[in-house]
Amino acid sequence: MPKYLFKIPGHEDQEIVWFTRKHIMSLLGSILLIIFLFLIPVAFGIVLWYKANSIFESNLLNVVVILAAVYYLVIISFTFTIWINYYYDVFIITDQEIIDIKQEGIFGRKINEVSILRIQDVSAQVKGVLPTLFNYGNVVAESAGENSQTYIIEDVPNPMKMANKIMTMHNEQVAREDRAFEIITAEGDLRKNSANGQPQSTASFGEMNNGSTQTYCPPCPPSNPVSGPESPSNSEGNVSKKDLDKGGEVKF
Amino acid sequence: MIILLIAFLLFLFVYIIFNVYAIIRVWAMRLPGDRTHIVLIFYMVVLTFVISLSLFIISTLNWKSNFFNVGDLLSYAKISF
Repeated sequence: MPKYLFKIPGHEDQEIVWFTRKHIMSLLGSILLIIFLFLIPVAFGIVLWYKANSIFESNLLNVVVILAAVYYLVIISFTFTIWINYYYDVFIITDQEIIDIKQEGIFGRKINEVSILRIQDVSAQVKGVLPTLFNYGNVVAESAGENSQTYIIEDVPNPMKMANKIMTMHNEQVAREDRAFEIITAEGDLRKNSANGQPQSTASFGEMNNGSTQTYCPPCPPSNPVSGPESPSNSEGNVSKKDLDKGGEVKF
Repeated sequence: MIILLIAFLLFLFVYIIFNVYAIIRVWAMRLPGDRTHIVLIFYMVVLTFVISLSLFIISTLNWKSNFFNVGDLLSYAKISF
């Protein structure tokens, strides 16, 4: 396992399992653009040399020199910024979290973190000729819960291997924490299994209102059954199938 | 024409300050064992080269003439094209 010291506040104690940047081939478009931008003034200068040579003997040469100097200084800084964006745009998997650090120019940085335990689904996407040829692509991770978020890690090398690693780590952590049968409710918290091995799910708002813990039991009938298909809509929130068939505005 | 030269020197002044600040920021972002220092040295060498070259060329040019000399421009255009 690679050891890499990356100082993010609050993560000094975590062990880095995976550290990667975007694949170098994802920079191909930027590299071609920079080459093109560097060559434009050269081509323009050659054309001027052959078509309007007198410019080089006039006062316009001063303007051309100043413009060329400014242009090349800006392009060099632009190239440097692209490199900074590439080099500091890193993706880290620690033993507890996934950290996606997006470098936005020289003066901007955005850090996304998600607990590996919260990861619900991970997929890898390799799309296009170059990504297929050089084996890079996107890893899409979705977190669980009501506030589910999708994390897209773009253009990383070996996306399949990385997705597999994330899911393996998630499963290991779930097993280690003994939470295999638990359900992550929308606002619920996670609790370890009860002593008799029965899984439990807790609803935080239920606890807040009643002070009791609901036991997760899929075959049990619900304590507050929803009205049947033919029953009239006798209370707010319950709508019968008959009323639904009529259409129109449904009062909740 | 001297105005253009002053404008360029002002730009250069601001550009150098911006780059010094950027380099300090990047230096602070470094990771242990990375290659940032090599790239920073290369960047500074290239910048120094471009600035020195432009200043050298500028120093060889005549900056005392007028900036907008329409007659000259038209005559150059007629000769060239």
